[in-house]
Amino acid sequence: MKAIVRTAYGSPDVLQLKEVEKPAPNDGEVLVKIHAASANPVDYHRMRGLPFLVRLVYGPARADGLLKLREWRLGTDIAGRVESVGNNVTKFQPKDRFSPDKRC
Amino acid sequence: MLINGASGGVGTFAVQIAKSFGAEVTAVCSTRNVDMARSIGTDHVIDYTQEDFTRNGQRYDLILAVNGYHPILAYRRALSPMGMYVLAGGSMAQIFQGMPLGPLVSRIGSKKMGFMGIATTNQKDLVVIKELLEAGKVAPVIDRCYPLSEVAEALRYLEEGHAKGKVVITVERSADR
Repeated sequence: MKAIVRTAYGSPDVLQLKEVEKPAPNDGEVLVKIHAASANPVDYHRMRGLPFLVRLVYGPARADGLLKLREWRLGTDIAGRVESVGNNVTKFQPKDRFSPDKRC
Repeated sequence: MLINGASGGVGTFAVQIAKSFGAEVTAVCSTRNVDMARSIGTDHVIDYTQEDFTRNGQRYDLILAVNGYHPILAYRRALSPMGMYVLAGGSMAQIFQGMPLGPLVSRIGSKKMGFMGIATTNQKDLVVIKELLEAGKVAPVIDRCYPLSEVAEALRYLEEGHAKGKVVITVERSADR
């Protein structure tokens, strides 16, 4: 699958489109095929790691990293369809329309 | 109520949700977004380049400031006696005023000043929004769509701060749907 990947904090120039391995859902997780996402201010704050307070919030909680970037993903809210579900998932099944608040 | 920053990604939803609850909504936005603010159902529109709502003598029961720029006491001035001010995002200066000063300023009189914090979503609220969307009472205002390969451009545009409604990233549809 395709993904926008970043390798460092910085301007939009740090973002690259890459082919990455498609994840498999773990227990209690669903894999969602994304149709659309919205761009939010939090995305460019996390991209730049600025203001620094953002790193204090997202560094530990979402593993973005305090000084050096650790988490390469970005993104907040999405809309799509469930592609597959992990064990113990009862509320969702493949093809369900899905618009969660993504917690990464 | 008054929504400061009514034409952006948060404000355009806030206006429509407030209208669906029957509020009388005043939108504050820049000149070029006045028509759009009217088109989504606001009752009154204030162009902030022409008029300062904190100094025009009007009082509001609820003020939602999205990326606002007025000092916290200016917002307080524009509140009715039992009014409430909610800050949803903005510059560091705004947030530092809202977080520690909000509770202090709220102690004086009956006006409440507060920072929304980082939104915690729950299924109950999302179902309400879903029903509003299905009933056509809320419709997303989409400024621009960018393909996944142009996320960098999308963020550059969003960062300029003039988006009218949402900036959307679309992902290429594959043949299996």
